[in-house]
Amino acid sequence: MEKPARYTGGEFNAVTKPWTGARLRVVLAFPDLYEIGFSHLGLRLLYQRINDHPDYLAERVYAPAADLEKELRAAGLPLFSLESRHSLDRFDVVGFTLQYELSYTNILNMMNLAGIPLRREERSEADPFIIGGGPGSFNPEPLADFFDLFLLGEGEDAILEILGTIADGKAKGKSRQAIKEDLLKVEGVYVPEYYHVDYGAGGKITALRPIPPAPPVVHKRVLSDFNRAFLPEKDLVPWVEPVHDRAMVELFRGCTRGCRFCQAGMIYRPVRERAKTVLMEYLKKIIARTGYEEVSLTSLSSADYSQIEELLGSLTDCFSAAKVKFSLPSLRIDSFSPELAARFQSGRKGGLTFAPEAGTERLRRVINKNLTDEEILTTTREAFAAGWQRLKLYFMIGLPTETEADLEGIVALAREILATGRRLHGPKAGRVQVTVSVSTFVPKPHTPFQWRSQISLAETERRQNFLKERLVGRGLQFSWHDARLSQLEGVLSRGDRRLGQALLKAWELGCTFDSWPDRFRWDLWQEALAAAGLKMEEYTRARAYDELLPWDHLSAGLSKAFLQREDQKAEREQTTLDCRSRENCSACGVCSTLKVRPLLAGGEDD
Amino acid sequence: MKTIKYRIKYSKTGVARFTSHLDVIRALSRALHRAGLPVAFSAGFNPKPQLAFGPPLPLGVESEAEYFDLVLTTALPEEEVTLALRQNLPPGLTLLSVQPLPEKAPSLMTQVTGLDYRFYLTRKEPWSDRQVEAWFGALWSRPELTVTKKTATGEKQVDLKPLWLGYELSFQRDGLILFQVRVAFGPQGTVRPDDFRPFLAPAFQIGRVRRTAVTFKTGERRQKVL
Repeated sequence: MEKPARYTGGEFNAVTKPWTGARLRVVLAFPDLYEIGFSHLGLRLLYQRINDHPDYLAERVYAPAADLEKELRAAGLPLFSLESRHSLDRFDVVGFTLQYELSYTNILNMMNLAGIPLRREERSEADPFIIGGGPGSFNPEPLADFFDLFLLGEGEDAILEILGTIADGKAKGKSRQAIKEDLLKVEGVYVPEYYHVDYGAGGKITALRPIPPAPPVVHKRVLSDFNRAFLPEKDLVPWVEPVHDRAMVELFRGCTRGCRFCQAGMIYRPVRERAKTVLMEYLKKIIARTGYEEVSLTSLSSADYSQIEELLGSLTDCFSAAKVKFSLPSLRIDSFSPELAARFQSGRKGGLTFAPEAGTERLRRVINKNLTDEEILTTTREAFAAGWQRLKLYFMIGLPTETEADLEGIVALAREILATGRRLHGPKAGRVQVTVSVSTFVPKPHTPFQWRSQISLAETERRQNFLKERLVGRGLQFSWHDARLSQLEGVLSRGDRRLGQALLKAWELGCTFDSWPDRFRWDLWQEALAAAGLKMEEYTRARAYDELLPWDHLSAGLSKAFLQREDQKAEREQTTLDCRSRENCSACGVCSTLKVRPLLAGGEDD
Repeated sequence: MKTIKYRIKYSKTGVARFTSHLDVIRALSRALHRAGLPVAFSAGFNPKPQLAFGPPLPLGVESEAEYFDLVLTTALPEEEVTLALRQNLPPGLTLLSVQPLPEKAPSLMTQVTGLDYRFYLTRKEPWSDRQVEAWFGALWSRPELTVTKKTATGEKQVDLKPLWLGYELSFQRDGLILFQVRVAFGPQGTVRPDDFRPFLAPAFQIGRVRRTAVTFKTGERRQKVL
C-alpha cells in the first residue's frame, strides 16, 4: 500500500482523547487525500478548537486512496478515523469541509465506506449528524439531500454552539428532528430540509419556501473581533509530507480588492486584520511548539496587510537566527517589489508567480483587477532584473465580455515579458522561461458574475487551442485546465437540489476524485446527468436578475443590489475602488447586514 | 566555529513503523527545532540542520536501534540534550541514548558493518521446535540463496548467502518463533528483511519485523566512546 502513514495518525500534537467520557464525538472529514487535506488550515484549527473543549472529542479522516478503499471493501472493513480507528458511523457528528465542488463524490464514498446511509431520510436516530462547512456552504444545494446541516461562514465559535446544541439535545433524549429544530436557532446554521424548493419549466425555481420555524434567509457567521479569534497553538506536525508542509497564520480575513470573479473576495468580507502584536505572539508560540521551519502568512492578498513592512522587520529580527522562513501564498503585481519578494525567497531565485487574470486592460477593468499593462511589464522587468529567471502568469479564459483581442492580449503580454527577460539576462537568456497557465472562468454564487453564462466545452477548447497555437517557442510554456472539469465545476457550483440525483448516480457508477484529471470520468458524469434528466446547459446558462437563484435563501451579507451594480459596471468597463479606506465604501451591504466593521491593523486611516 | 557532535540512538515502534525514512528525517529536524537545541546548519542558500543518518529502515519495520549524528554549535552536557530530545520526539520515536563523539569521528554510515533483524514467526505446519530448528539449519546450509530484486532498469538476481552472517532461534511458550538474523551492511550490499520473505513464507506466517541492533566497525578504527 502506498504511504500507509496517511491513515495511521500519530502525528506530533495529535490528540487522542478517551473514547468513553466525551459528551459528543466528532470526526472532521476532508474529502481528498491526506496530503491535500492536511494542508488545509481550517480543519486543523477546528480540530484543536473542539479538542480544547473538555466535553468534546474530535478526530480526523481523509479520503482513502484507491488502494486502501479496495482493501477495506474486500475485507468488509469500515472507513475509520486516524486517532482511535473507530468507524465514522460511531461518531455523533461527521463534519465535512466543502472546499471544492469536485470533491463531492468523495463525500458520498466516504459515508458509504463507513456504512452511513447517504440520503438524509434513510438515516436513523443512531446515525451521526452529517454537517458541512467551508465555501461550498454558500451554495450546498447539490448536497442538500445528503446533509443534516451546513454552517455558513466562520466556524471557530459556531462549531461549539452546534456541538453544544446537539449534546444538550441528546442528553435530554430529544429526537434527531427536535435537535435540528433547535439548531435552526444557531446563527449561520442552514438546515436544508426546512426549505422547500419548487421547480418550473427548464429547471427554473418558482418558489423557495422556508418551513417554520426556519428563518427566510440564513446569514453567514462572521467574527467581529478577529484579534480575539481562536488560534491553534499546538498545530499538528505531519509524518507524511503534505502539499503545503508548513505552519500557517492568517494575517487577515476578507479582502478589499473587489475582484468581480472572486468568490472568496465576496463571501469572506469584511476585511479584518490581526494586530501585529497578536501575530508575533502567536508565531513565537507556534514555531516553538511545532518546529516548523516555514510559516505561510496566508490571506487572500497578504501583501495588502497594512503593516506588512513592520511585520516583516519584526519577523527578521525574531526568527532569522532560528532559520525560520516565511512565505506569502501569492504576490500581487501592484504590491510587488524585488526587496519584498527577496525576503521570502531566502537566497534562491526560483520561480515567481503573478496573476494578471486577463490579457487586456479593458478586460481587467471588467473584472475589477485593475492593473495596467505598464504595471505588469514594470513588475516583471524588475523581477528579471533582480535575478529571477522563471515567471509564471495566471490567466482565466471565458471571462464575461472576452473577445479574441483579449486572448491576443495574453499572447502579446507573455511574448513581451519573455523578450524583456531574455534581454535582461543577456548570455543566460536561454534559461528565461515564461509559463502561461490558463484556467476557465466559472461563475460563482454570491459574486457579481453569478448571473453570467459560462462558456461551453467546445468554446473552452477553441479558446485553449487559440492560445496553444500561439504560445509556442523557446522559453514559452503553456498549461491549461481540463475543460471538462471546469464544465462540471460550473454545474455543481451554481447547482440546485435536483443535482443530488445526478451526484448519487455518478458515485454509483464509480466516480470519485473528480478533481484528479486521471480519475475524472466525463462519460460517467454524462450518464449520471442524463439518468437524472438534467442538462449541463441548464446550469451553465446565463440567469436574469429577477430569476430565483438556488442560493437566494443563503446570505453572505452582500446585497443583491450591490452585486447587480457591480455586474453592470463590469459591462460598462468601470472599476470599483478598493474599500480599504472608508471613503471608498462600495455599499456591498456586509457591514450593515451583519453588524460588523472592517478592522485594520494600524487603525482606520493607516 | 567549533562544533560538537553527538550520536543519538532511538527506537521506532508502533504505527511509526509505517513512516518512511525521509519522513522520519523531516520529523526529527522539527523535533530538534522544537527542542531549541543550537543545531549547526549547513551553509548555502538553503541551510539544513547538520544531521547524518544510519541505514534507512524499510517501511513497516520497527527498530530498537536507530541512529543519527547531530552537530551542535555549543557543547551541551549529554543530560541536557537527552532531556530536550526526550520531550520533543514525535509519538512512536523514543530516545535511548546520547553519546558525544570526537570532533573528527568518521561518518555514521561508513562505520556500520552489520544489521540485526528479528522476525516474529508462526508455524503454518504443526512442526515441533526441533523440526523448525532443522528447517532453519537446512536453509542456512544452502550454498546459495538467490532472490530476484527489482531495480530501476529491470530485475536482477542476487545471492543473499554471502551477506547473511548468522542467525539465532528462540521459541516462546505461545508458539511464537523469534528468528534473529545478522546481515552485512556496506559497499558489498545488504539484505533487506523483505528479501527473506520468499524463503520463509512457505513455512511461516511473518508477523512483525524489528531491527534489533546495528554493528559498528571494530579494531584499530573502533570508536572509544561507543
